[in-house]
Amino acid sequence: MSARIELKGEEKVVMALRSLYTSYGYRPYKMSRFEEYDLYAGNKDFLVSGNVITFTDTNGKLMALKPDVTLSIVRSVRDVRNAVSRICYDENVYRVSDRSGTFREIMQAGLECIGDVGILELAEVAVLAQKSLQNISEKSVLTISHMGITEAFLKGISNQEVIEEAIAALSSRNAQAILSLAGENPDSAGSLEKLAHLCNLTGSNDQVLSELENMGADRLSLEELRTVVSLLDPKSVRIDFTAVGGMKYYNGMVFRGYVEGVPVAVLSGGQYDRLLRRMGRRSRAVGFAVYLDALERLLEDRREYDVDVVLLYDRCDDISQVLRRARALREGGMSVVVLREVPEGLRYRDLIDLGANRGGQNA
Amino acid sequence: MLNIALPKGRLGEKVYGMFEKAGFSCPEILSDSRKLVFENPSCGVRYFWVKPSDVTVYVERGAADIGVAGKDIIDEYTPDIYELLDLNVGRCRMCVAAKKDFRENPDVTLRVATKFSTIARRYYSSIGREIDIIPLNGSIELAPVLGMSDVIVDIVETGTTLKENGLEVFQTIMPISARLIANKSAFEFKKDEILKIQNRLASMVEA
Repeated sequence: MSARIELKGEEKVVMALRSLYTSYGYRPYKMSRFEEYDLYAGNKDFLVSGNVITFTDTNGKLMALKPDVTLSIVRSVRDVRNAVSRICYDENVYRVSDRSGTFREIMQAGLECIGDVGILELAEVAVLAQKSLQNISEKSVLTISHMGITEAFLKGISNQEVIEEAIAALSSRNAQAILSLAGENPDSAGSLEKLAHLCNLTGSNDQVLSELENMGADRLSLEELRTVVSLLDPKSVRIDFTAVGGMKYYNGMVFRGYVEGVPVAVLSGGQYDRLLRRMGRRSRAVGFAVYLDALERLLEDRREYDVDVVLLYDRCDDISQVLRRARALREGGMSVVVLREVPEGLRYRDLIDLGANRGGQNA
Repeated sequence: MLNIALPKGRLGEKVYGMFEKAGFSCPEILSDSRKLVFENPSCGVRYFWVKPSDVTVYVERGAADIGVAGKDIIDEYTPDIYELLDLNVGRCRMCVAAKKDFRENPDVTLRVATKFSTIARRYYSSIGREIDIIPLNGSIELAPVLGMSDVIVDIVETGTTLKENGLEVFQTIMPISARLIANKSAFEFKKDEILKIQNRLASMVEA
């Protein structure tokens, strides 16, 4: 019998996600750990954190330890008419953690769908985002918003600073701050009041969709949102406009994923055609990332024992017999550690003291 | 059960009064004990008293689902949380103050003593002024009195402390009040309870 494969919680999730993504035709992609710094310098706002670890390569080029995967994938995929590249990954990235303010190695899994992306691909990515969360926990929620709708409501505002303040307030669900901006900017009041209303949209997805229709939301975006939401498991999807993506990059749906017991979003993504335009590309793109570092505590291994069996032996025991006994136990599916004495703090299910038998025989 | 972080002190007691009126009472909380956690299962609430500047930490990290924090703390630490409601209590202002006879020389770097480095930096960068931040943790008023700083950026409630030290307000940066905040993930899983509290408090604030 072969030994059990002991995987850590995050490793199990990585394997489950990889198998989920490949079953939809996504091809795993292995990237280099380093990239030229220029790739990130031009798109710092796209990164979760603008800080990047850099070093000078032997040829004098300024290189960076990858802080993000999407930019590398986008660069590696060519524009092909009427074709879509489906790529998935699980990679370590290096960036400053919001909480500690220091650099950390962060395991990230996710997928990108780049090319002639249409409603089918958008819906498929949303379905995979929801399934990814369901793979992690029984209690999960995928929130979806649509930048097309949010931006259409912002069209009446000419002052960029007001737009930025309004978006920041929307992402912190602060309707009062948006209404007070409306008071200070009477020319934009109508648009801002609609945005404030987006903060407070609650109720079932159908209620929210019909309210959006009443508000005169952008028709094409609303239809896209309606179609995608109708294809998702209704139990764990919510339309929520506080999920806002950077307007320089995101143009369509924006996803955030939460699982119960983890205080931060564990999944984030959306449609980011504008990033490709900024990189001089024609393709459209949608994707998401799952932040496995956020799941560390949730998936923490809480086994009662460190090992199933402690096999205690003595100097006078026949080593080959001791090892044979241990092997027999392992072949029975148990984990076994062979020791001369039990160290303090070791938790075990059974203790077999070979010396006790021998002591008995000697007596 | 909804976990609620309240700021220790006068403001916290006032805010608890609002929660109580809204139907989320926990009488034990007002007892003179050293306990930090108080629970009322029948109302589905568990309150903790925490240092006012730590409320956002408890909420952002999910130890509390919701909490009450001053706008000054929210803007200073910029936690990734929802800011659901202005409770309209604990009202004061974030101000720039200096000695009464202070005349600003725009030709030199302005020395700013403050507990609120982020807010001060953001304010002065918005008006394009070069500053030198002097981070302090208390008795901020002392800095301009001793000539260590030109101005201070601090919370002003009545202005009495400033007056007693020969200082006065030169600019108001923003108004401050207590806010109901929520953890983003908890909001998804305890939405009904959180909205119930938010709506009841909102109707009290408006009344």
